[in-house]
Amino acid sequence: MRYLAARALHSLFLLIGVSILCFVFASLAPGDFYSELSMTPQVSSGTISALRKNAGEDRPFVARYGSWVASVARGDFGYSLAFGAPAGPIVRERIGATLLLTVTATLLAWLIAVPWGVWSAASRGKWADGASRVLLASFLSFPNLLLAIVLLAIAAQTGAFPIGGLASRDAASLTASGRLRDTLWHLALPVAVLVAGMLPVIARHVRSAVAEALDSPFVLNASAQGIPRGRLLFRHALPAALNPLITLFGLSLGTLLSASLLVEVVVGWPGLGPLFLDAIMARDFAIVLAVVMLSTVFLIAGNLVADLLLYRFDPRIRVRS
Amino acid sequence: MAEPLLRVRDAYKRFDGREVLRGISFDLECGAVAALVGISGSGKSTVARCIAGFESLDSGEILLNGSRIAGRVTPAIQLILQQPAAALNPRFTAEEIVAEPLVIQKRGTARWRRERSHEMMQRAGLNPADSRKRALEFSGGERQRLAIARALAAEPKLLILDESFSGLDSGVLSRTLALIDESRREHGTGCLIISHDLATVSQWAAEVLVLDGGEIVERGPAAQIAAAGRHPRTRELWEASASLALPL
Amino acid sequence: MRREFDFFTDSHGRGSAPLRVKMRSRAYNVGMPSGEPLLSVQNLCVDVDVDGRFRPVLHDVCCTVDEGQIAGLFGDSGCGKTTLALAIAGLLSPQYRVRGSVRFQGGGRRLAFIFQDPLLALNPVLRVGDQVAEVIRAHSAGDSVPDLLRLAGLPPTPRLLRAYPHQLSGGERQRVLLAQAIAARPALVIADEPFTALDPIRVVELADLFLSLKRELGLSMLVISHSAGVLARMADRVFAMQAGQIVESGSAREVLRHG
Repeated sequence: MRYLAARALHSLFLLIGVSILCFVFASLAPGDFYSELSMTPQVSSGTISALRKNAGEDRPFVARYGSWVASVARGDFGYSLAFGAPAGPIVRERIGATLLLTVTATLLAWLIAVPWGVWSAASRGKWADGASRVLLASFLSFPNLLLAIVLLAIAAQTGAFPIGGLASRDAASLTASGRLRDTLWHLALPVAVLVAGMLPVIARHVRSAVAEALDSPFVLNASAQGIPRGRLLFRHALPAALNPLITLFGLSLGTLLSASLLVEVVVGWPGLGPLFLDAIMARDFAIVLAVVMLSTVFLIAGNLVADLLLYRFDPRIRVRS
Repeated sequence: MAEPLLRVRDAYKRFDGREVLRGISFDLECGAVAALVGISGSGKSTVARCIAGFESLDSGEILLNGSRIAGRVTPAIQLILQQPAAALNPRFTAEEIVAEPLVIQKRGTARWRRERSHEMMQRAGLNPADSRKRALEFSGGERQRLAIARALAAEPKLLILDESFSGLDSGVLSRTLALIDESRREHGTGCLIISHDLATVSQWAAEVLVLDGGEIVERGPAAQIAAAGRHPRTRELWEASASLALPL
Repeated sequence: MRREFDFFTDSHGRGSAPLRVKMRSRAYNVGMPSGEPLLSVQNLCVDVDVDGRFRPVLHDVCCTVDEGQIAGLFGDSGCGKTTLALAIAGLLSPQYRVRGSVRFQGGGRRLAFIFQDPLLALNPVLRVGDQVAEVIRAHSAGDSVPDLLRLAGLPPTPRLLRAYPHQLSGGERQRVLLAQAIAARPALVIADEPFTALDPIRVVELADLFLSLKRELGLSMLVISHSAGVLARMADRVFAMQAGQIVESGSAREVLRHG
């Protein structure tokens, strides 16, 4: 319990630090939300200053930060100048779509990568392993976004998958299972892109961790004592290989929010990605900050889950505490 | 009366709530060889590590030539461990390994250090022509010799040998002892041998201290302890190791 | 069903493909192991591949172990004792090339190996009790984990059964390896330097334990040690090795006389 409390405190400090850093960077960047307006000749500089003052953007750093913190406490997470509304609800609306995409992709990636990695570790030296490594390497080296564009082009040509969007226009009129199918159909393309990016990394880590366990003296001993190959792999090697994989899993969890942002933009998925990009372009700082903070929270949570899992599954870690 | 080379006073240490050292006190004179004997878990290795500065005592003091050194590593005290393979960086060359303490102490020029390194290798029974070979190319016994050469290159005031003799063949053993003897005569190096083999060690050490459960339960001249020890643990150790000594 | 397993590779020195034979060996030949030694090693030569060249490690090694006998393999560090033991057990990695013959006639019973370093040989994330159970299961043996631990000299307390290897002392870990090795009543147990890290009191205890296992279970052993004293105490027969060759063999007394 004390451990969790210490972690919570530590995380709080981290979040505060990240928010301050973000504020600093935003202040350092030239211009603000209203700078765009100065491009339009009809709007006088006086109007711009007045707008700025109205929004409180001309106050000193500490004052602006302070009122942002107060806004967070209220649940508003700052005020979006572009939308003219609190940033919190806007972001909250979009999180669902992003998480739907990333959770599906992450789950799928792990479900495919773990067996693939285990198999390839067990088949080292055979030709099938060589072929699989080439395949994984090509997945890894093919740029994610390029893949997205290629798939989009194919989809446009063949009409096999929809381009963009979470649901078809007439989704509301479909039955529940119809809606589910529709969503899956829309998910297919972006999920494929994300999985193609995550899969090789996970599979290679699994392979290397399992291979190291298979080469270890304790597996040699177990084998010498007569333990059959299949059991050696799953009951003896895999548990010992979990440590680095749990850490990787924590990282996977941690990037649930941030992994798909660019892909969403390219593919037209209505999640946080497009919102985030627009906010950056417009310098709508409240939204940018809200998304960044949310990503940080996920990262912290992912790390914490990894540490807890390690504690549970690796007895060597427990010795320290 | 001269200050003893090493003085340990009321050393106490706990590990994970267990008392590993309970009020250890002893002296070691310049040029003397003493042995700390006990079974595994008696605390003897802990004493060695504390004296060498790798662990700190919870209370008590360790004095080298009168000055406190507890908790600090100093090149004047060299520790040689049981597993020399683990103690030597396999990628370092023999020359680098033996010269390392001199490098750390910033003594002499690079050339002088190289010469000294070759000299020590030779005295330890290794071929100086092999000085460019990496540690992993030497056999276990040779690596032990390298470790000893390194320890003695630093001209330490105190040499601690922690179970360093198990697994060595008689050739290496006698050469090692000869080297240590030389160091004793030339530099007054004191030697503390940590071992569980009472029978063998009592042939080399002048004084033997028997450790049990973190305390010194008996001490005295080697011959007396070996043959006529009074504490039950001493008798046990003696009988076991004597029975394992070669028959006939 | 009687099994004889024979890693007969190539006795004409032509060299064979690198040999890494798992303990679940190829069993064939039904034979009657009467009067013949339990283990017979003939003209065993082992080379190791170092940077493309083959360096000889063992040369023309011959040794035997009879039923109900404890044989000792004596020699200094680096003389090849461990390599010989691994070669007999079929556990050498592929960079070793083995020629010669190793004939083990266990009458259906297995050949067990006890590695030198128990901390490395035990799985760090599995409980010790489970690791012993795994071996029992692999051979469908009728032993129980507590029985095996008791035979190995460890009281089968819940604390021990549920412990992980890093929570045990060095001596306890070694006994766990021993418990694994004696599961399913092996015909022969090869122990690689089991006495090295032990103090004399424990050494005597372990040596006496081996002797009692020989008496009670009819266990035969090949024990490797550089300590003449302990071999003198428990071995019926000793083979002395030097630089990859057997230089002497005979009773413990004879061989160890000149240390």
